[in-house]
Amino acid sequence: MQIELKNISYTYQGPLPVAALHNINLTVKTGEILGLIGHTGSGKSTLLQHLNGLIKPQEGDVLVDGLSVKKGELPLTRLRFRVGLVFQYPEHQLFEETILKEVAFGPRNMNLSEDEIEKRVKRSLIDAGIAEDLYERSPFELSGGQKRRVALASILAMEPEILVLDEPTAGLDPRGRKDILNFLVNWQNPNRGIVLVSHNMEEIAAFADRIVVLHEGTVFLDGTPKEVYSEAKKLAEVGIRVPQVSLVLSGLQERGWPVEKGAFTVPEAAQEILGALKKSPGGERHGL
Amino acid sequence: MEPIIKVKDIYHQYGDTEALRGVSVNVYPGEFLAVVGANGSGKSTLARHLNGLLLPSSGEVLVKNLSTNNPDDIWTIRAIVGMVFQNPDNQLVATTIEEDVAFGPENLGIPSPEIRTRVDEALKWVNMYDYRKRSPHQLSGGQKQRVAIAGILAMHPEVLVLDEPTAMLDPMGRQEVLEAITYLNRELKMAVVLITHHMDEVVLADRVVAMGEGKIAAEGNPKELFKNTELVTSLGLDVPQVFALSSLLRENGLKIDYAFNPEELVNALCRLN
Ligand SMILES: Nc1ncnc2c1ncn2[C@@H]1O[C@H](COP(=O)(O)OP(=O)(O)O)[C@@H](O)[C@H]1O
Ligand SMILES: Nc1ncnc2c1ncn2[C@@H]1O[C@H](COP(=O)(O)OP(=O)(O)O)[C@@H](O)[C@H]1O
Ligand SMILES: [Mg+2]
Ligand SMILES: [Mg+2]
Repeated sequence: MQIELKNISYTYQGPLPVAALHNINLTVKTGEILGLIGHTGSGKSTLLQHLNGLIKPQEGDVLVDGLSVKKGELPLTRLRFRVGLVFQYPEHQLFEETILKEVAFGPRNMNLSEDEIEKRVKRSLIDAGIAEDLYERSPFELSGGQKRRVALASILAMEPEILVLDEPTAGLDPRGRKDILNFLVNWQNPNRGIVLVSHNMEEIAAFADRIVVLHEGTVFLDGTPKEVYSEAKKLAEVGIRVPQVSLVLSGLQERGWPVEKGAFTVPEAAQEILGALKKSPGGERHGL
Repeated sequence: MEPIIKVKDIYHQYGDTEALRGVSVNVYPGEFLAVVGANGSGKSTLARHLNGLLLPSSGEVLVKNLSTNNPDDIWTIRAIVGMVFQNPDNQLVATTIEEDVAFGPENLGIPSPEIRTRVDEALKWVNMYDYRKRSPHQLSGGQKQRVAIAGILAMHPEVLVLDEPTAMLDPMGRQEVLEAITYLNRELKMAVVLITHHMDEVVLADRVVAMGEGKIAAEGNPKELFKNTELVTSLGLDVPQVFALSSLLRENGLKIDYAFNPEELVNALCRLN
């Protein structure tokens, strides 16, 4: 599956219209994990809602496998099953009386058999890490982290091809973050894609195949994590911090070390540093 | 030094849930104390005990030797211990920022000229004075959170308790709020209790308390805590990325100290050559 945003511009109407997106061109596809970053107000949530037809294109068009959303060439309800959007604020998504009903809501709307619904609900709840003793509770009685997991489960139950997550780990403890990210990495495969918004640069660096940086409603950078994070200065201009290890590498490079500054996970950075020391004249001294 | 807050063996029960199970901790004047722990470990419940928003089922909380169990002292206690929460949207109520900040001191019955002074001063401390006439709705998350902090500061507290104040902010907003908190602690010598999941914020603190299942599981210097890998893992915590890198390099035989920020590590590595 492939979703192309073509020359998308979007303005929120009202007494004071707000221009949120300007001329966005971007392709999202299965088989890829795309990290979307940019500071608050840069247009991330507005862009995401274009991907599943929740916002209809005002200017420009969205093409899903070549079919135009604007011209109504494909049914939007089906698009919402195929592209699952997990909201930034799970409160905006949850409404059922119990967690079981909440997670069953999507599959029920897809006219699946009761057996299939039940199977999907159970599996999604397990995948999202929700303990069985919570199933009959109201989603509104849960902690913020638990609500996020229920919101994720309710989308997973529709078995989307592309999973779009708007800051899914905000407010979670480190283990909770890791659990969700590990789950997502395992979930993704050549026939499934992920679009992830996060403010955690380390997380995006370790996880994404490609990073898109939004700034004031436009695509500011688009590339692999290595390409994007090697632009520390440019990113700082638009208020984005690079991962701590990227700062270490660019610091070393400035001091004349032969390291590549695009590395960004801890093991990769260690490799770079150890490699550079080995090459240096006194390398043996460090026992390398 | 005499603690400002003494938490003495407190328990707290919500229905069947025992959220605190025998917690004792002191908060000292001028210190920066971080509180960490998994979701549900009891951090917020503990925080809400520090100014009497919640009362212990057993045990006692003393703020400058006043007990939160005594209803007559509760307003004095809340003026000493100010509290800032995760979501700034729920904390800002007035139509302009300065009115919002004036709200607390007005409630304390402070005379008007004094309120004016306090509001201006508090907004300057968090670097939001230039925005005083604006509406809270026009602000970014980090700005809103700083206004919420100013609202507490205008009551002249001696301890500022912040419950995950940066969890919903982008990196820039987070940075702004941390700068404000660090300034208040370092320059104004205000005691700070910061609850957070961000380990790079924990490094800023003098002392850290790690909660696990309603109890204090560990306490000490943040840098020492991070070195205890087993404990960090068992509590579901994490270490700052630079610290992880310095540890990995040490494991590979490099003779460098543990580092807690990028600059430290760059300097340590350059000293090797
Ligand atoms: N429902 C809305 N009505 C009016 N303006 C909005 C609405 N949602 C977002 N905006 C504005 O659109 C811009 C982009 O917002 P958003 O897409 O939410 O950015 P991000 O997700 O990157 O924070 C911001 O200026 C924001 O204030
Ligand atoms: N208002 C409440 N009613 C019932 N249980 C609660 C309430 N607030 C918190 N709890 C429970 O108390 C425990 C501790 O919660 P909390 O102090 O919020 O932890 P933390 O802030 O560390 O995430 C959790 O098991 C939580 O579900
Ligand atoms: Mg958003
Ligand atoms: Mg909490």
